[in-house]
Amino acid sequence: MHNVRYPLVILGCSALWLLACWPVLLWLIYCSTAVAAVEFTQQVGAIGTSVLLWGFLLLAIGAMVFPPIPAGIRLSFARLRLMLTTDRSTLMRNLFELRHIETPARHLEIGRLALQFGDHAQAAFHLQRANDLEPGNPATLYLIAQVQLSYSLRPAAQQTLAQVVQLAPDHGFGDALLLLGRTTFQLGDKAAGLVLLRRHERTHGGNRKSHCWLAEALKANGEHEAARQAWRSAAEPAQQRLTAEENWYRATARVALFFNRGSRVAAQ
Amino acid sequence: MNELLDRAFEAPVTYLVAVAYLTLAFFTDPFNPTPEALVAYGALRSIDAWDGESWRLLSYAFLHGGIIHLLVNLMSLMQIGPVVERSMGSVRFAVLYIVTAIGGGIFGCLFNHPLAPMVGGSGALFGMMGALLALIARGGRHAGDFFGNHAARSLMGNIGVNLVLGWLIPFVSNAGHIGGLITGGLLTSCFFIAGRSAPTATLRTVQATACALFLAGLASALLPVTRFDYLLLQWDRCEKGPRRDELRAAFWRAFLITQPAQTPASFDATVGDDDETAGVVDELKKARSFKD
Repeated sequence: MHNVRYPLVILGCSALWLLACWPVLLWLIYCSTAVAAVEFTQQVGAIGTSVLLWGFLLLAIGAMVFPPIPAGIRLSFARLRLMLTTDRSTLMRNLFELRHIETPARHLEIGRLALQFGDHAQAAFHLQRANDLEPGNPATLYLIAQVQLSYSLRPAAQQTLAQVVQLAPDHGFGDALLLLGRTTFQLGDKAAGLVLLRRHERTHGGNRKSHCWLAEALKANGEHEAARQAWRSAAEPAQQRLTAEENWYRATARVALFFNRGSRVAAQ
Repeated sequence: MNELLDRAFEAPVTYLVAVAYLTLAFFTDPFNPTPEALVAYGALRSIDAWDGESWRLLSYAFLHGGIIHLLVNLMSLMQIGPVVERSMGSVRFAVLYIVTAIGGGIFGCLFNHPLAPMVGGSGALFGMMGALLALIARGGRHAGDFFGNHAARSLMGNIGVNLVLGWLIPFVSNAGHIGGLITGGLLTSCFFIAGRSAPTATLRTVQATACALFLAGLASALLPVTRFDYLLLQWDRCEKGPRRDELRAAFWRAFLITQPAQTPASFDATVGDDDETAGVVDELKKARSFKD
């Protein structure tokens, strides 16, 4: 990726340097003729305005064509819809009943629903309480790990996920293992992350998300061809309509394949 | 008392800034500070900054325009300051406060009315929020990780609400807020976070570009050579001669474009004589009340 990014950085920085030179240039012109500086600013301003307008238009078109943008918009809307359309009466009923009888299952349910509504603070409180009342429940621990990840508390989430995997290796159809692999990789232990992600692939098969994460781990471990193969699997055309999340991972895989085509030539 | 001292030792710069806020508020009358008093103690007016008082780009960030302004900023400082200071260290935090205050001042000079005094530490407080965003972004490998982070979303919501409030409430300089926010984010991501790892060619290029942009912003704020207000100030100060005539012509050229409604209909900038325009210029000078 670096070989593609560096020219882009240079291009962006060059444009910014031109912008930074602008006051110096104006000052030099002003020192010789003040009127010329004003006229020059007006002319450049007129040209700049139309260039900016066209630029924004092209950028907007480009953004809509760039796969992750429409996929990201669809994913955001899907999450918003889930948040707004989930029945809140269940949450309210559970909260009400909690005043009479406190059970770990009720706290777990409230935590799960609060997480779905995006209320992470409430979710954290009830999940922690559920864990205090019934320690070692993989479902509670898995949701606690999700809350920890939403606050970027990766080391804590890694420990919690490791507990889940130890208690129930197949929890959430392998989602706990997948998340553990991803978190381990994100914490910088690339080799261990790859081992876990491969284990997930072997035992639970793959989906677009796991293919994407595996591809990143493979690339970081220097296995470029295997990484491209994983991205290809994630970017395969769909036979039926994809969910918003699958569509997002397919879009990111397509972009990753595009940016990693240079290293394929190098590898061959 | 001991607890307060312990907290102060944990985040000394934050507490020093808070003490500076309170001390200057005491000198400028916290309940009813007059614009004259604020300007005397260092409020930022673009026109003063153009006139050589560039130190105002920093001094305004320790002054406040009333008790509510002071309390709001003091509370925000005590909430955000210790978090940021503990995350990046006291020296870096002090640099962050100074640079983001100057960044906010630059934006204030560029976009505010030249005679409107700007005061308040909110530019630097937005800079701290920008720094926090940059610190959170460091944790992720992709934009998706950042936007998925609850703390980042909450902080962005907070920034958004404050900016909207800034637009809705009169006398709030959102330009200063945005300037501080951008400066804080860039400073933290390009220098403080990046500085912890070995420098790469890309990083050095980005750092040099960020420095150049900051200096260019500073130059634009202190020497806006094509703004009609600045040109009027220079024309007013210039002794009679060809340069004064040139500055006069440049002023009218800029004034005609930016303030067409105030220009006499019959006036031609290329040939106009001073008698015809004396009234307009006098009125403008009176409104601007240039210091002699």
